[in-house]
Amino acid sequence: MPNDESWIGERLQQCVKTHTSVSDAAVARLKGLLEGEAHERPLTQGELLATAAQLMQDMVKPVMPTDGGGNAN
Amino acid sequence: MRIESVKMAWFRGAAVSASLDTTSKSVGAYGENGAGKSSFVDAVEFLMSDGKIRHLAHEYSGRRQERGIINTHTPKAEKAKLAVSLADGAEVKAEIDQNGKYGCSGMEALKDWDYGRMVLRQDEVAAFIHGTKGDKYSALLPLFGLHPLELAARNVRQLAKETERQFEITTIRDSLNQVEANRKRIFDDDDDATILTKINALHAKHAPDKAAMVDSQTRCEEITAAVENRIARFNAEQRRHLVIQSAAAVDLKANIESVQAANAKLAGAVEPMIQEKLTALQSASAFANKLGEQEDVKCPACGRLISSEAFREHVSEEKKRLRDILEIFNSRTAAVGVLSDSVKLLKSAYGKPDVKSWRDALANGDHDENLKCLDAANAEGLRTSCTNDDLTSFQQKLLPLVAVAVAASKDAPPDVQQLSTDKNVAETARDVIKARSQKDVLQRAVTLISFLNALEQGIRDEIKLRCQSVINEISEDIKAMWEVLHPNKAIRDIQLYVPKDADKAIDIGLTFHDIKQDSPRLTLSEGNRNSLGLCIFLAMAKREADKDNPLLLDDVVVSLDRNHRGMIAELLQKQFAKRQIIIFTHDREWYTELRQQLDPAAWIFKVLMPYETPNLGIRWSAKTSTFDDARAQLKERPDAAGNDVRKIMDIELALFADRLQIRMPYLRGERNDRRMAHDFLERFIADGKTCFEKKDAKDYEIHNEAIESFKRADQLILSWANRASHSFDLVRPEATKLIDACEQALGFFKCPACGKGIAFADAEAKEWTQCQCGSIRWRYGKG
Repeated sequence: MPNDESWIGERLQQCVKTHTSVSDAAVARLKGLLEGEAHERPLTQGELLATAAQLMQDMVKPVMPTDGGGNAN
Repeated sequence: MRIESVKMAWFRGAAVSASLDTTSKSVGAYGENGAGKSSFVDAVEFLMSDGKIRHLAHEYSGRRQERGIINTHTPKAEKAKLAVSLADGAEVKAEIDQNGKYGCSGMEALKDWDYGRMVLRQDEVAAFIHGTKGDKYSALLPLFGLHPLELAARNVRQLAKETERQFEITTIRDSLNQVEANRKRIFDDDDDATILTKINALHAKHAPDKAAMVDSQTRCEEITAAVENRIARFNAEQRRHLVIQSAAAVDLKANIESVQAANAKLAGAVEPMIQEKLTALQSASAFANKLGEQEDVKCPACGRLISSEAFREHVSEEKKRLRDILEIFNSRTAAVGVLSDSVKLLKSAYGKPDVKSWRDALANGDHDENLKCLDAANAEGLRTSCTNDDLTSFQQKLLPLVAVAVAASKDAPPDVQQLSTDKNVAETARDVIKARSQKDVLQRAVTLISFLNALEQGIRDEIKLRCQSVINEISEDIKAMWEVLHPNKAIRDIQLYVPKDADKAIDIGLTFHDIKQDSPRLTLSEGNRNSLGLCIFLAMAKREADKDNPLLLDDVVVSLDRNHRGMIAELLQKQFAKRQIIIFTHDREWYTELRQQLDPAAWIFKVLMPYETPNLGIRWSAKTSTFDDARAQLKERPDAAGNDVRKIMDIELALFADRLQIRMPYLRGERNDRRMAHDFLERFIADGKTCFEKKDAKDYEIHNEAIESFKRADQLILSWANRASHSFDLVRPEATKLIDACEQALGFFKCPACGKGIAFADAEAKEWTQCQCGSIRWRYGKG
């Protein structure tokens, strides 16, 4: 891996520009992953499973209070 | 850092001990096939690559490598051991148990070593050239140092796939479609607030004793529980009406129409068409990628000339069309799923004992055929096969059953009707509420997957950018090296390039006899492909000249002919004089040629003995076939010394005869391939009188001193060397004279001024071959 890894941050930011609803937490997790093991070896099935779940969790944003406010939940 | 030594015990072909000692010099090592050359390369790879040897990993799919790593005859108590010593004193070691477990030490000394850029094996040479653009990409990317980026791209793609799989995107979509259909049926266009108001009213009606503050979903469940509680107390008549109500509620007509509408869009035969389209598009896409910079192209379908840019756009539009068709196909699949559920509900309702008498009455009336059709319907099977005949049959036979249920349900007591309706409302409302969180999961997953796809594309763009940058850096060196190996210029302008509009692709363009080619597969022979692969590897090695890591070349000239492989020594001398190179070869002539041409101050040469048994393992030969080695035998075996000298002369004179274009008389049969030293010396003496020249002051004159030396060597070979070979009858003084005479004769092919052999031809290779400074030369065609 080239020592200069600034390209990862740059590429991520380029993607964020066209995917504005992606959370900062998910972007940060992907950055850490790409700067770490993801460029050293194929991730195992277990790692893929856990990381996908974590990323989905990262994508959760604070929800509005529900019920009684005119929506069905 | 240079390699000082490679030591092995019970590793691969090695037995108790095998060691390659370089004293930090470059090494040329000869060994027959199977002598153990590659074991040394394997040892270095094992230590560099964290216990992996690629060609064995392939064999055992990454497992059970120990089957190939450990010598098959290793004693039970022994382990395989490896040690690589470096010029700075560092030592990297490994011990491997017979079950394959291993431990290493000193690995940090190799942290800057990169296998792809330091080691080239026989089967890897042409891998840079063979195969498709994708194959070239896979072979070249590690060499370019970009494999980590490819790994990153692959991992991101796998994450996108895993997200799609784990969060069941397709299932959620289908489920949401079903909920939306039910919502429309029960609530028409009511908004969420209206639905909530209805639920609150139903809760107050059916569960007035329950807390009012619970969330909407719980309220729906409480309504359903309360209604079911009342239904449980129904009498038989009420239960019959309830079941008929449920049959009447099946919206079979709408569901059949949905499938028919989707079918109309797809106009039948969707799957074969998609498959056909995909195949055609893949070919067209591959064709478009090959277009390169061409301005116009003949359309493979209609034969018209169109611009390559327009063709690419056309392919892109077709891909989009296919994606749209796939969307419609997915909608149809969902509609068929809903229809399947409806048929299942209808079967379930009509199959209940509560309605048996009513059903029997229908069977005795006009609905016997309809009921038989319902019983025979395979609701689950519809998901995989739902034909127009099925739909027609349902319309003709099942819709009347729904209609009769609707009619009968109107006779139901009001409380049954109301409870049934309330239950439906509560259940549908509950699903609508639950769907909100499903929609949220779906939205998050879709956004994340789209982001990951964009990120993968971003990484691939980065790979392309860097590939192009590396290509720009090495292109001139590849061309220059190619020209050294192939000076005749028939193939030139070798140029690596990254094809447009294609991920994971690198190709190599060239000019073949003045015609541009966009892939070397089209015109290059096996040998040319190999030498091109070698040029690419060496151009990358030259780019990292400052690193001073050794280069290991394992049998890389196998398919090169004598002329081309002969130029490799020149290439190594010119471009890599400061780098440690370790060459293994089974080509004895090339090995001898390397020994003649490469600087003895920087190179050492070694010969492996033929491999006999795993217990004896890899062994270096004490006889390296030099005159000094022959002298070493004078005391004990003067006959063997004489025999060795003759072998040396056989090989070395054959090489010179080839290089100097000596015309040998034709001999019968196999004797043409088995010429002896005497055959060559005879011609050198005869032709040398007009061809072999040395520079004296300004002019060239015939090199009589050399001719005389050839004569003397020839005489001694004829008399003594042949005697040594045939009767083993040679005494020490005779052998000494024979060695001296032969060594002196060969010495005349080496220039005393520049120290180089006669190996440099004129530009067209038509006039002469000379030493580097031109003090001695051989003029062709004078003999």
